[in-house]
Parts: sequence; C-alpha cells; structure tokens
Amino acid sequence: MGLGLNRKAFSLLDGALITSLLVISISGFIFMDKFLPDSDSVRVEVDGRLHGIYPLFEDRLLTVHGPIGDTVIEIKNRSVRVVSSACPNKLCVHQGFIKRGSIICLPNRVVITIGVSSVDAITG
Amino acid sequence: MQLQDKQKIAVLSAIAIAIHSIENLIPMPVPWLRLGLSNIITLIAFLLFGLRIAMLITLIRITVSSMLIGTFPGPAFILSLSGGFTGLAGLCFSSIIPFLGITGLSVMAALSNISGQLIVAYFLFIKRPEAVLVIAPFLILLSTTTGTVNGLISAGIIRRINNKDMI
Repeated sequence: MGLGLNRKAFSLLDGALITSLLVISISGFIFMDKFLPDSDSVRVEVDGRLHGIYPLFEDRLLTVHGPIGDTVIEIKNRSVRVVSSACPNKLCVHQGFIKRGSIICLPNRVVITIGVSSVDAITG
Repeated sequence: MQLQDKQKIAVLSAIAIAIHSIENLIPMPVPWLRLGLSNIITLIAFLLFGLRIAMLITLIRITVSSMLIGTFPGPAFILSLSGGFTGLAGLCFSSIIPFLGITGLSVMAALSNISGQLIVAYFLFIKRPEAVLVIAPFLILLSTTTGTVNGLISAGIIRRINNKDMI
C-alpha cells in the first residue's frame, strides 16, 4: 500500500528513459531500410502457385508459362518489368520498370511482387 | 476481501470503463490507435492500493468496456486484455527500480503493454517478423508519448489526492 506516496512525479531517470526511447524510435525510422534486406527479392507467382523467388540485385531474364502463354520478366538495375506477355491488353508490359510494389497480369495469372507488403498485414 | 476494497474496485472500475468507452468515440488517424487514457486509473490504483486491486480493475474494465464497444470475444478484446496484463506486469517489475518517478513507471507500463500486444498479435494474427520490425519504431514512439502524458496526469491526480488526504 501507498507505493506511490513517496515517488516523484518526474525524476531524472524518467527524463533519461523517455529521451533514450525517443532516440531509439526515431533512429529506427531513419535506419528502417537497412534493417530490411529481405525486400531485395522478387517473388513470382503463376496461377496461384509460387514460381520462384529471385534476388533483385542480379540481372536476369526469365520466362514463365501461364494459362494462356508465356510471360517474359526482366530483372535489371534493382527493378523489374514484364518484357512481353501473351495477354490481350498488355497492361503488365505498359507498367514498365518497378522498384517496389507489384505487377499483376490477370489474364495470364502472373503476380510479381518485390519484397513483402508488410504494413498491410497489420493495418488490414 | 474487505468491503472497503470492494468499494474502491467498483468506483475505480466504473471510472475506467467510462474513460475506455468514451475514448473509443474519439476519431483517430489509424483505427487501432488508442490513447490508453484508462491506464491512468490502473496506474493510480496500483500506486495507491497495490497490484491485486489494479489487476481486478483492469480485468473488469477491459471485459465490460469491450462488451459495451462490441469487440468482446474478438481479436481487439484479446489484444486489449493481453496488453492490459503485460502492462501491469511491466509496471509491477519497474516499481522495484527506486529512482523511477510516476511518469517513468507509466512509460514502462505503456511499453510493456504494447510489447505484450505485439507478441500476442504476432503469434495469433501476423506471423511475419518483418512486419513487427517495420511497426516497432512507430509503436515505441507512440507508447512513449502516451505513457508520458498519462504519467503526468496520474502524478497530478495523486498529488491532489495526497494534499486533500482523501484516502
């Protein structure tokens, strides 16, 4: 009982605690990109199944076989694009190079994602 | 349990439920963001009457107000309850530290509250370590701020109670 009666409202240690926490969280915001090396990968899904995960920093050209034909994907200079696709509207090709986010080709059921959309997991 | 204790628990729980429910009506930029103003009551109860009463008040407050809000058996209730109890555990452990003031205790409680919620959320809902890493600095900043504000308010209330010798 009466634990709080002999405590200060705000002690020196409180100030030190709050300051260090603020420094930790703000440096966390600043260095966030460096903590997330996992987003250096490209995930390719075809027809709902994982086709493969490729590193973003290695240039390559890969061809995947979807339900209506081939989709050619190019990884170059840490970005990804669809070079050619068998789909009718070619929306995926017109999207061009992306550095983050995803390219989705609905007709050929190809989903290309850079890294992981991690914030949505919490807000959703 | 003494009759006096029961009265304290009833009155403090009622105030905490009211604060918790009204706080839910305040619009927030992100839906799951809460100020945690009802933790002021938990902190005051812990400092003045000890852990047992604070624990009962927390349990009653979270159960009844989540029934009022309508989140009772859902994930929001589970997170709220786990946060409430880890916060109280953190408060109890940090009260051993001698030079920590009321504001410091409040910040420690807020941090343990949010860590408990994050751990439970991780195992029950998210299951993605990188998501926890992304959200961590934001949560630390948030709980430090709300913890400081709540601590200062609690310290003010406790000082007034001491001056008027109401207990």
